[in-house]
Amino acid sequence: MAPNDDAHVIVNDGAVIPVDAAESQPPAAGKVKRRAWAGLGIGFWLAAFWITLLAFVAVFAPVLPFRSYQQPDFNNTLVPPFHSFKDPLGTDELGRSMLSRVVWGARVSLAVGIFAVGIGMVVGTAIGVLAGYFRGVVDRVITVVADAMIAFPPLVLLLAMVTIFERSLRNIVIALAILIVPSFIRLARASTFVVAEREFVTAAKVMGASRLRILTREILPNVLITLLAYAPVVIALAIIAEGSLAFLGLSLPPPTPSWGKMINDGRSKLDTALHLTYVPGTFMVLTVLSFNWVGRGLHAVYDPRRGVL
Amino acid sequence: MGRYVGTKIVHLAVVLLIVSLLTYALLDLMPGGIEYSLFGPDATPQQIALARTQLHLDDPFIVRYGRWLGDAVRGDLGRSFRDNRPVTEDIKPRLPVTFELAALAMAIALILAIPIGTFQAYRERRRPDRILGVATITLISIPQFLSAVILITIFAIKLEWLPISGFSRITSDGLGANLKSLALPAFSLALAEMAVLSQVLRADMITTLKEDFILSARAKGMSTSNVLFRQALRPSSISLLTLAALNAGRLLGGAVIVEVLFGLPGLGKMIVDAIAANEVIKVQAGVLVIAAIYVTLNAATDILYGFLDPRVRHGSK
Repeated sequence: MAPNDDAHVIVNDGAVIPVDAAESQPPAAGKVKRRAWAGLGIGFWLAAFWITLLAFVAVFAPVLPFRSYQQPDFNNTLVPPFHSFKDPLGTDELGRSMLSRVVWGARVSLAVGIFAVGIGMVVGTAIGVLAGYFRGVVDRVITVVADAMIAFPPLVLLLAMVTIFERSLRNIVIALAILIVPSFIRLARASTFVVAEREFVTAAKVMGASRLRILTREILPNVLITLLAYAPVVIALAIIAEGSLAFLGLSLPPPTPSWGKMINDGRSKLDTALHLTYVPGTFMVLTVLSFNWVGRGLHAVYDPRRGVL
Repeated sequence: MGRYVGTKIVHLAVVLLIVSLLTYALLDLMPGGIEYSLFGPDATPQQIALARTQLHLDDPFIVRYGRWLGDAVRGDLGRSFRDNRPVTEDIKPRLPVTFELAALAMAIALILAIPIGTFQAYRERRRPDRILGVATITLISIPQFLSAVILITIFAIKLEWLPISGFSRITSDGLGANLKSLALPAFSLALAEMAVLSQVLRADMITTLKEDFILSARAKGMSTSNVLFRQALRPSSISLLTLAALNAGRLLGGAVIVEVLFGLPGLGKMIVDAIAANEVIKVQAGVLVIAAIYVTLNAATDILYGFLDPRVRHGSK
């Protein structure tokens, strides 16, 4: 194993996030915890608020009183933001409401991010914990395969996968989940190494607990806590990855609006109608930033010694 | 040392083998088979038969993979199905473009990250550190394609300083034009990279600044900039340089979007074009080359690391 393999995990988009497994501690006593939550600062709560708001609007978009995202209005094309009460974020070159389009785009981004990371995390954690607990040949094989998968440039692998399979929401989620799995395998494995050496695991062993019980009741919960703090950051990366695909025109086919696609479409009008690019752009950055910020806060809570990425 | 290098090389070989297997298998999985994706749904039976014999598609998977790998090791990555030219002929002139872009981006990122990270560590938890911290996490949150679009808006459309797209070769247009055509793409890649690197340096530098030798340097009356850049920077830069080396490898493959957006004739652009044109063999070759370069760089970093720091070499796993 490379010396830095256990200390770093390479997540999706080239960002390598240092994880010092040795430093990830199980949650401290309740009192310390509460103080940590309180000390997260306004940024964390603003970020959490934005994600909640966006998720709410995205989930209920069909029943909320927005204009249809497909309905053109040729009398009001290219209205800039904040100029009309009916279309607060302006309209595009067909007079479609930017607000509706951005909200419907949020459905795609959030669904892809959350489901892909959910699936990737469950599968990756299961494999990583088993590899880290039982070690031996299986562990070696799993590590080498995970290394090989991480060796592919993520976007290129993603491109190859979406070219092969039909471009549906389900397939894009699966493709992203496949990209995410190896990172969680590494994280879970490294974290299992540390947890398995701890006293309460030895105590459980001495008390005659079965392997299954040790794995599910002692090791898994502690590993999961470390991993959950990473989930928001990985969701952010997944949202960027989907946006990149959409930007290249390889995500969901039209008419479904998607932030990446809207940004790309707006590119031809950068000199006259900036808002076509910057409305979806702002939503995307705010969302990714919020997930990153929440992730940073969770780290601070569960691991007081590491604050930043 | 020999043993350490040996293990690393074996590991590298195994990973490379799996990388090649995955690359080959991935494109073999195409629904309807490679021959259909090459010619589309209205392929004639003759075309399909020809493709099947040329690509030896009737052999078992493992035989085909073995043949492909054997050729690849000898530098033959197959021929394009469209113009029948060897794929390597297309790859070779593109490598320098992608390399130059990645190197330039990493250089910009490092040049910016070192003073920023150092300054943040020096002002740990004070206002400048916090403001820069917020700025970097924001930069990390801007997707590459968006930072590219922002830079285009400012420098190409509003100020008209730099070209919107296109590539000028050193050989035909000179170094100045070459750098001008790469400035926006390199900066688009460098921004997020710089943010990550500066935070890594900040974390390590904070630890270093608490060491005794820093205190003694200060006590001897050394100026702050001397303490920071002469004394503290070197011991704090191991993670920074490792990460820079790893991410430089990643930039080679991560430049896809930027290459497409700015119309640079690099490897990433080739892969995207090949995907659009269903040139399976070219996609395979491009992916294999990028992944192989990355894995090899990664292993080289590890080995170098072992030379620099004996603890790594003898360290327990």
